[in-house]
Amino acid sequence: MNDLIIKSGNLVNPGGEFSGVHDIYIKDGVIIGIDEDNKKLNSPIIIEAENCIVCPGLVDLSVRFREPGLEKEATVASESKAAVSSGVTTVCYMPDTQPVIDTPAQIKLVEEIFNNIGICKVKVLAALTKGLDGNKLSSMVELRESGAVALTNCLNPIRDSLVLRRAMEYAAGQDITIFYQPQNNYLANNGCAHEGKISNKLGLPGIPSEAESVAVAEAILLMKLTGVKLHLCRISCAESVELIKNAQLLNLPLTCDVAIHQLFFDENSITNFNSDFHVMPPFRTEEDLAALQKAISEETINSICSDHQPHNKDAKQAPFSDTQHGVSTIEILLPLLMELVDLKIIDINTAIAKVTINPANTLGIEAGVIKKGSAADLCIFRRKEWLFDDKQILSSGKNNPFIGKTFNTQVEKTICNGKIVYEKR
Amino acid sequence: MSENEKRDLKEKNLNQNNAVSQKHLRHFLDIENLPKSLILDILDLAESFAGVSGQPVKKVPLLRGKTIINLFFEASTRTRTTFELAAKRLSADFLNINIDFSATKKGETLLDTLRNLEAMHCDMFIVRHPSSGAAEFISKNVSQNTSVINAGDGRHAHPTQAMLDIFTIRKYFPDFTKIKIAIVGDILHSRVARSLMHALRILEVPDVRVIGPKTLLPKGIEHMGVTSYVNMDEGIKDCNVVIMLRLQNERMDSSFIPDEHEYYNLYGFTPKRLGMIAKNGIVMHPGPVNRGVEISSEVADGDRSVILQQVSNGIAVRMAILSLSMQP
Repeated sequence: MNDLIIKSGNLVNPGGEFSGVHDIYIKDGVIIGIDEDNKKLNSPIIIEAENCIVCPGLVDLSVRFREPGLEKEATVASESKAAVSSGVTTVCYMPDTQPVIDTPAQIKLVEEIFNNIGICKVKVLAALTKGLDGNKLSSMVELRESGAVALTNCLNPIRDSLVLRRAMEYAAGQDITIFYQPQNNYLANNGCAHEGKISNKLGLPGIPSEAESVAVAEAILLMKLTGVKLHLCRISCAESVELIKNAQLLNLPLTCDVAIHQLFFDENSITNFNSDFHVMPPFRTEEDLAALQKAISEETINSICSDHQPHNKDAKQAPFSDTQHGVSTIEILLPLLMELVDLKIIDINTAIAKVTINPANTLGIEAGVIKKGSAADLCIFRRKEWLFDDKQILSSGKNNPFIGKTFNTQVEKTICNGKIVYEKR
Repeated sequence: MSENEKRDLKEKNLNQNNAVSQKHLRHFLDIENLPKSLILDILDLAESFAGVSGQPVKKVPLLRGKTIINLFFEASTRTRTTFELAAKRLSADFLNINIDFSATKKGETLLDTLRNLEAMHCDMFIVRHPSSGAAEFISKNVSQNTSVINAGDGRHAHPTQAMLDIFTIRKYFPDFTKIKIAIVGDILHSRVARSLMHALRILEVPDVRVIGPKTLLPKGIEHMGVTSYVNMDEGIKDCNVVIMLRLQNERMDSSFIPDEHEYYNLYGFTPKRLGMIAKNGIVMHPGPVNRGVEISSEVADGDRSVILQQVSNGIAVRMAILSLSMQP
């Protein structure tokens, strides 16, 4: 592996002490110094980063690369390339693969697939209940010892509140963080769109905001009861934001994230049954969108993730309610984030924090910061216009509602463990 | 997304919709975006076809040599047969595909079923499907010369039913701007109600009411330009037209309403309630009728009921829609 010097990049590094224009020195995959040429480097490659922004490699709290079991949709190889093209160097892997990640062997398998490909790093979220069935607790401690950073039941329901309580209690006793995607499945009632004016008009089975906010309220109350460290995933509505904000005022160890696409669209996007806008939770009202945008400018929502869900073409080729939900957006996570900066919804430091140091802190991992001694996971990008057309898509999933959009942010290079894993062609 | 991009996206969406050109339809998928003049043209054309059924030879040669396929993914009697009769009276070759026994049950996707049928060179699909948006999806995936008629998609739309309903209403009330209309029952799950609300709005009916228990009235239904009522007696008062909807048995099982008995008491159209509507008022029902659940036999079979006329009118209205939608 070559040593690297990144010269004159403008550091945006909300989790560390250095920001502004600096040189970064990298040896054996580690940042050995900032601005201090200690002459230890061995014929280094010099990367001129003048007029570029350099930020920590992104930490994405939710991806589905479909391996093992659903390789017809996507693979770790294809999706890792898409991830690093957007500066993502660490991905959190959801356990709803086939089979479900609920044993140490499954965790090892996923880690091995990533190690063999060697483009980006993986942190596995293992199943909170066996087989994600929502009934029997998984072997939480064993899973953590095997590398799971947190446990989640994904979108699979835990219908019985007592099971949820027990899961939280047990996890709290072992200091394990639970990632919980709040949705009351009885209230969601197999819906596929936000229950509101558009679902009324289109006759699509609706999911009321309360399917989420009721579950958020329940989770917060049970969190108080059990003392668990809780992270709420993919928040979509104003009431949830309000409940979370109030809970945070009580100093509960509660964090939450939002999927990047939720910061761009509302329910109006599905007019005409366009299945590229079929997501879960569904796009909600204009007011909800505004509340989410406000909550990311504050501390309420501390992380933004891609919620990357690549699908093959067939999955979206059916009447709206019969299609798979989810969008494939990891490769434009950073350009979309910077668009929020350009729209003055969020400042650049806060924006970068939401995809680097904040998710790393939630996970309790060493990542998301540029500092001496840390792994050299970096993203170098430029403010430059480019057109995102379907020919450039790296992900196997073409289910991307942003195709055809012009962005102002282009990733030049992504470095993971000191290795250049992405370079703009 | 900027305002400009939003607007572009909206326009793009609109353009993909039922492209309507003058007096010719590319597809007939829903009523929402039809101009008033076109709706009236369809009604007038249907009027001219109404005579055909009374002739000794019940055929006109308008669609001779054209092939129409009835593609029904859901059970139907009235709609399926009236489409069949309409097509045959226009001299088209006609095929009924029974999906229960066909390929989708063997795992074929909707798109593959469609492509295979299209390979047999048919000119038009008449589609009924349990998923909202199915007809629109199919219309986006057929070749340029094939038309799609929506015969009911999920809860979304049943535009030919709405057309035959307004055709029937016009027989009694030629001026739509002077009447009050109530739609009663399971609005939430009803594609007929949704299409009717659009049609009545476009025809500028000043007072459209939807009546039912709160569980069956979608939240925010006022966005569709109607007034909602939970009390039927208040809702039907002085109405010129009352359209009753079928209540499906499974609504009791999933806690929308307690039981048939209570439903009949609150929303059943009884002779007593018939006395509350306008003196010249008529009673409609898209069928099939649940006697003793949403309507009493006295009312359904009474002289104010036009339920069977709706069925007969269905043939003429569908003839008009088929002939306007067939590609030259």
